[in-house]
Amino acid sequence: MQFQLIVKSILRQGVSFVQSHPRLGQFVIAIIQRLGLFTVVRDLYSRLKGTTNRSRKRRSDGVLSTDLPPRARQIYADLKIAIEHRQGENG
Amino acid sequence: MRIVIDMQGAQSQSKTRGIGRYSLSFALAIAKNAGEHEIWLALNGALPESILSIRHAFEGLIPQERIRVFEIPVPVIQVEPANIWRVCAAEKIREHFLHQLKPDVIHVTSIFEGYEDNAVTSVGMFTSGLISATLYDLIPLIDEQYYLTNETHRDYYLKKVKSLKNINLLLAISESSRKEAIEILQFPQNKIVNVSAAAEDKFRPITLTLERTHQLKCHYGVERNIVMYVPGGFDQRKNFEGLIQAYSMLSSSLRANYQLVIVGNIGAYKRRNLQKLAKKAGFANDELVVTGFMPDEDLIDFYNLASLFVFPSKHEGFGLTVLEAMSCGTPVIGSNCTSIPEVIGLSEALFDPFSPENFAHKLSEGLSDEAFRERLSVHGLDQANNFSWDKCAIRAISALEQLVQANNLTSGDELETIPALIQSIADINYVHNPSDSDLALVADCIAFNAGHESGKQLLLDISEIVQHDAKSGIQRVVRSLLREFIETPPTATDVRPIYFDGTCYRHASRYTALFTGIPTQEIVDEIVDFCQDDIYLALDLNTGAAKSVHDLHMDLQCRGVKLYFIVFDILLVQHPEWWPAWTNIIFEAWLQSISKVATGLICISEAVAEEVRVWIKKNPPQRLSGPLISSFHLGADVENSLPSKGLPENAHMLLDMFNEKTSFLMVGTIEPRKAHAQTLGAFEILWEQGMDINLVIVGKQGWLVEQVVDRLKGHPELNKRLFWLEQISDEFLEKVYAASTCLIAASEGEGFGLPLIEAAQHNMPIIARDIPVLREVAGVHAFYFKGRAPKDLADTITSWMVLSRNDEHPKSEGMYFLTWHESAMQLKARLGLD
Repeated sequence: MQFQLIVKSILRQGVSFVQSHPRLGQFVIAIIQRLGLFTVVRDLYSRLKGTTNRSRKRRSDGVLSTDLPPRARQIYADLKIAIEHRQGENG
Repeated sequence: MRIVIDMQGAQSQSKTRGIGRYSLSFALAIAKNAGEHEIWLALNGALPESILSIRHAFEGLIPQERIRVFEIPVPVIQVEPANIWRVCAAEKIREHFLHQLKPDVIHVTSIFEGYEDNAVTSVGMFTSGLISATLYDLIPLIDEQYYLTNETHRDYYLKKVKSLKNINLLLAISESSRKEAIEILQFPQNKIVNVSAAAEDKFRPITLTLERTHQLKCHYGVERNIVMYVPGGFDQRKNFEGLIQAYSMLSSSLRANYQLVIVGNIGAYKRRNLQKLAKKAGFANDELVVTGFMPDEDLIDFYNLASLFVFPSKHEGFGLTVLEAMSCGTPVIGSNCTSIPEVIGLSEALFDPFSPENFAHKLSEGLSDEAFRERLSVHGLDQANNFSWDKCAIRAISALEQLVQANNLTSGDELETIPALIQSIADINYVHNPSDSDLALVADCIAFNAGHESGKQLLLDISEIVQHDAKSGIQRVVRSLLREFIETPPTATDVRPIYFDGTCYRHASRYTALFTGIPTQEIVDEIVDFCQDDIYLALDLNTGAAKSVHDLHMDLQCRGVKLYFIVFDILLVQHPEWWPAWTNIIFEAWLQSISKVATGLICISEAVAEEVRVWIKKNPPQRLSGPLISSFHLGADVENSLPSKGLPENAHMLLDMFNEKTSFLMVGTIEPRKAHAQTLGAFEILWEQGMDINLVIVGKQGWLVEQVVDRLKGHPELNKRLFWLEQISDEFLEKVYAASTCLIAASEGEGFGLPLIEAAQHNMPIIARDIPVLREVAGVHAFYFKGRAPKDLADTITSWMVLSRNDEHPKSEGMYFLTWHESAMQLKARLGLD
C-alpha cells in the first residue's frame, strides 16, 4: 500500500512536471500515440488524478480534515472540541 | 406560505416504484397549483442519480434557485448497524438544512426511506416546526409476520412509525389509509387528510391498429383475448393464489378464449412460483403469461387491449393500476378490500378476494356478460375523472394552509445556528466515537449546506495561465477579463480566481496577488469551497484536465453550481487536419465533457455559437436538456489587456522600412489555418508583376508549418520586402500597426478575429477572407476575398490597390468594437449577473 502511494506520488509529480512544460507534453503524447498506448495512458492518467472538492468519489472514500476548505475545517475543529468536552464531562 | 417539499421519495430506491411516481407527480401538481405560495424542493445530494431529472421536471415551474440540495455524511444505509452514528448526525444535518430554508411547513414525500439507501427522513431530531408527510399505507405494521421478520428492519420500521406521531399533518393517499392510521396509530382525525391519488394523463382510451395489436401481442407472447392483472409488486397480499384458483374454476369453454396476463417486473424465482401455481391449478401451458417489465407506452396499449382488468389484492394503499386501467376505459373488477372499493367506486364490480367462489363468479360475469363489461367500462371512465393530480394538490394545499394558520409557530432561532447543530451532533450518544473521517465529512456537509454568508461566488477557472502563461491570444483574453472581473465585480458576488491542481480546485490566491501587485508571502492557495448558487466560469481553455474534472463537474452541476465555459472556437473538431494528429482527440473529449455538464457555453462570437449549436445537434450530449449557447464579443482596448512591453534594437529601422512602402500586415501564429502559404504565394506573384510592396508577418512559428517556415527563412525577399517578426511585444505590435498600410486577415477559421479590431483602431484598411466570423466582426468595413489559391488573393490585393488609389476601398473607421470593460459586462450578462 505504502509502495503504491509512493509510486503514485512520483507519477503525479512526473505528470505535473510534464504539464508545466507544454512542448515536452506534446512530445510525450506524440510518442505515446506512436506506441499505440494513448488510451491506456490516458485512463491511467485520469485514475491518477482522481478529484476532490466534495466529489462523490471523495465522499465515499472518506475525507481527511486536511483536505477540507477553511470553513469546513473550522467546523471540524469546533466539532472535535465539542466532542472532547462532552467526553470530559462524562468522565 | 413557503412549502418546502423533501423529495427523497422520488430519489431513493422507491423512485421507480409507486411511491417515487406518486412523490414526483404530487410535487409537480403542488408546484402547478401553488398560487401565491412559494414552493421549494429539498434534494438529497447523497442520492445524485435523480437530481438532474427532478430539476428538469420542474423547469418552468420552480426557479432553479428554489431547488436546494443538502449533503449528509454517507453511508447512512440503515440496514447496516455500523452506520448508526452517521444516521443520527445526518438526521440532524438534514433537519438543520430544511430549517435554514425558513419554511412555514415542510412536506416529506415519504417517511419510510433509508433502509437500503442513503436517504434520511427524521422528524424532530434537531428542529421543531410544522411537518407534513404523505402516508401511503401501514401494510408492514398490519402484517408484521410477513413484512417485519428481520429484526433490524423491524426496528427501523417501528422507529419510523413512532416518528409519524410527531408529524403535524398526514396526507393519506386514500380514505382507507387514512382510516388505518386513525385506527392503528390512534392518529388524531383532524391531523390526517385524504388527498387521494391520480393516474397520469397519458393513460386514456386509444384505438390500436391491427398492426400494433399484432406486434404487441407477438412481443409479449399473447395470442388470445386478455385478462390483465398489473399487481404493482409480487408479495403475498397481491393474491396470486386466489386469482389462479378463481381463474381455474372458470368453464373451460370460457377460458379457451382468454389468457391470463400478469404484468410487472418479476424475478426468476417468483416467476417460477407463479408458473408452478398455475400448473398445479390445471392451467394449460399458454394460459398464464407473465410479461415481466413493460414500459408505459406498451402498458397503455395493453390496458386498451385487455378484455378485463382484474385486481384481486387483499390490501392496498391506493391501487394505482386500477385507476390507470379505468382511465383507459378497460372494464375493471377488483377486490372489496381496503382502498380498492373507493377507487373503483361501483359495488357490482367488487368481489371477495378471500372467497374463490365469489371471485370466480365475478370473473365469469366479467368475461361472459358483454353488457356488464360495457357498464364497467363506461363507469370506469366516469369514475377516473374524479381523480386528478390537480385535485390532490388543491386538497393538500388547503390542508397545509389550515395547518399553518392553526399553528402560528415561530422557529427557535437558537436551534438554527451552526454551533447548536455542532453541539447536538457532539451529544449523539453512541457506543463508539465517530472516526476523524466521519467528523470531517460532517463538517464538509454542514459547510456546504450553510452556503456562503457573503453571497454567491463567481469562480473563475484560470488553470492554464496559473501554471504557465504562454502569452497566447487566449491567455491575453483571460488576463483582460480577469482584471475586469476583479476590478469591477458583479453586485453581491465574490469573484475568486481558481485553478485545478491535478487533484482539486484551489483558490488562485498567490497568482491573483502577483497579478494585482500584492506581496505573496504567506499566501496559501486554499481548497475551493463550492456551494450551490455559485457560478463557475472556465475562463481559460484547459482541455487537458477535462477527463479528470468531469465527474467533479457533474457533481457540481447536481448540487446547483452553475457551470459556464468560454468557447473560443471549435476548429479542432471541424478541421482536425490543421493541428497535430492527437490534439483533436483531447479537444473533442473536452467539448463532449463540457456540453454534458455546462449550464451554458459562452462563445466569443455568434459565428462560433452557431457552429457549436450545429456540433451539439450532431453530437447530442446525454442530458435531458441541452446547455444554453450564447455569445459575447471580446474587448480590443490594448491598454486594458495588460500589454507586454519592449522594443527590439532595430525597431526604428524596421518601422521606417514599413513606412516607406505600402505594407500589408498579417498578425497571428503561423499555423495551417492562417493561410500564410497562400499569402506568401500571392505576394510572390505580385512582386513578379513588379509591385513594390511589403509583406509583414507578425507571429511565432506554430505547428505543421515547416514548409512555409522554410520558404520564409530562405526567401530572397526576406528583410527586403518580406518581414517576419517572430516574437514581439504588444508595445512594438502597436507601432507595427501604425507603420503598416493594410491588414490581411487570410485565416480560414477563427473564433473572433481580434487583429481586425486592432487594425480598425489604427484606421487601417482590412482585406479579409469571406468567412462568417470575420463578416460578424468587420461587417462592411473590410474588403473580402474568397478562394484558396495564391492568385485569388493576389487578384484581390491588386483590386484593393486600385480602389485604394481612388480612396474607394472599404474603410475600417467606425467599425464597432468593445472595450474589455464592455466585453466583461456582456459576459456578466450571459452569466445572469448585473
